[in-house]
Amino acid sequence: MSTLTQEVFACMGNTADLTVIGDPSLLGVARLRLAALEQHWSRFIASSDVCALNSSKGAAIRVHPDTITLVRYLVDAQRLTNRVFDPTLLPSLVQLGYAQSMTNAALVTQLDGSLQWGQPLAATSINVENSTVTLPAGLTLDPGGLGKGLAADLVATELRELGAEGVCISIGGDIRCAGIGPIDGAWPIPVASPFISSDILATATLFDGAIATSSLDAKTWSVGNSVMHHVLSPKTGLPLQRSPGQVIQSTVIGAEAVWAEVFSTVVLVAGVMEGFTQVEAAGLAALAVFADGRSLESSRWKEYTK
Amino acid sequence: MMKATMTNQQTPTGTTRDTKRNMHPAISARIISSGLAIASTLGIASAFTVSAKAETTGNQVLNNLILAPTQNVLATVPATAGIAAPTQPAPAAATPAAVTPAAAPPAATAQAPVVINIAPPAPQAQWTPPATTGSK
Repeated sequence: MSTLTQEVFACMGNTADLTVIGDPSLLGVARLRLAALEQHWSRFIASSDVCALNSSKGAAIRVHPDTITLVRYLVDAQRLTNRVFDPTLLPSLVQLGYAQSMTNAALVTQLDGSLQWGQPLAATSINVENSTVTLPAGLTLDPGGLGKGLAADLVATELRELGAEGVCISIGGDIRCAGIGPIDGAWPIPVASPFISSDILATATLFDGAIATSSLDAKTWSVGNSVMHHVLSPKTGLPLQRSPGQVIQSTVIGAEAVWAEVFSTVVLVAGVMEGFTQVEAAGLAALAVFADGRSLESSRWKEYTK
Repeated sequence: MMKATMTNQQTPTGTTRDTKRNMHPAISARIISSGLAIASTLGIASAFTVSAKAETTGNQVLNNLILAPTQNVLATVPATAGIAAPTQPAPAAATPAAVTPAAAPPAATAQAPVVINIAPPAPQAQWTPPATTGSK
């Protein structure tokens, strides 16, 4: 006998949508787990591991084991994408005006003014035995979407280990599905249009897998007459410019939400030529939507949307 | 916000009910078997150690060892043993996970027909799929 329970709640400055097929009490487990991850990983919460690292000035910082996992993914993601995915852009983002949380005005990112951005994380020292991280002096980390994707992966995996027959968790549109889904065993996931959010571009049928979308139109704020967004070029530290040929939304399907999120950002930042090359090399599937309304699919996209 | 709570299967009598279970039986079994394995390992390890030491030393060493083995073994387990190495990007499964087919039923033999009451199909779960958007 299986019970399907679905719940929507605020999470990580965004919205989580969690479905569990199995023991409904597992939703409570998931909520507690996500709250704990946010306390460790938020760049807005002064007591978090990430804030401690961002003010560490090259000193070794003892962090929670979950943060060790997070930092390893951040370092790997920057390296694997040739720094197209760059989690060191926080000083530039704050300077552009995104210091305050958009969901809690009391939370503000505090940074030293002498920090750098767009630098390699390869020199980061991670001591798993002692659970310490030493970030190169002058560098900071912004988990952003990677943190949300990784949180979805961790929670989905843990709920399955606790006996859930099926799990689907979305954190701000980064979605991880595992186990048996409610529709003929699958989890059909709609891909929303960047122009009209109620319009559906495609529906991806997932079994064990993940899907993530990045967009220029999320997390915007105004500075004077200019509308800014949070997707920055790792070369200039400035928001990507909106032009007819610019990708304004990209969606990637992979085994895990953390990598789907990373490569959806890569397609957005690098464009379809470089972005799809990386997506194909990793065996993932992607859909890119341009500012002029055109869209382009990678070779494997139809495997999930036919 | 609770959106929906429902069952998607029926009992043989056609009524729906939730199964309340504090812990999955497989987890209980795993905990028990893990406990037995640890206890067994500790017991065998300490027995071998005690035996080896006792051959060359006196009873004082033997007494000390009897109190020590649990602490010694646990001290060797790193506090971060649960941290898994990062994964690499990989494609999602495009088909359901393979399910081991059930054993074939025995060959039918000639017998009187049996009337079977076929239950109606389980109701489709009311599920609102989350859309993927770039709202992060």
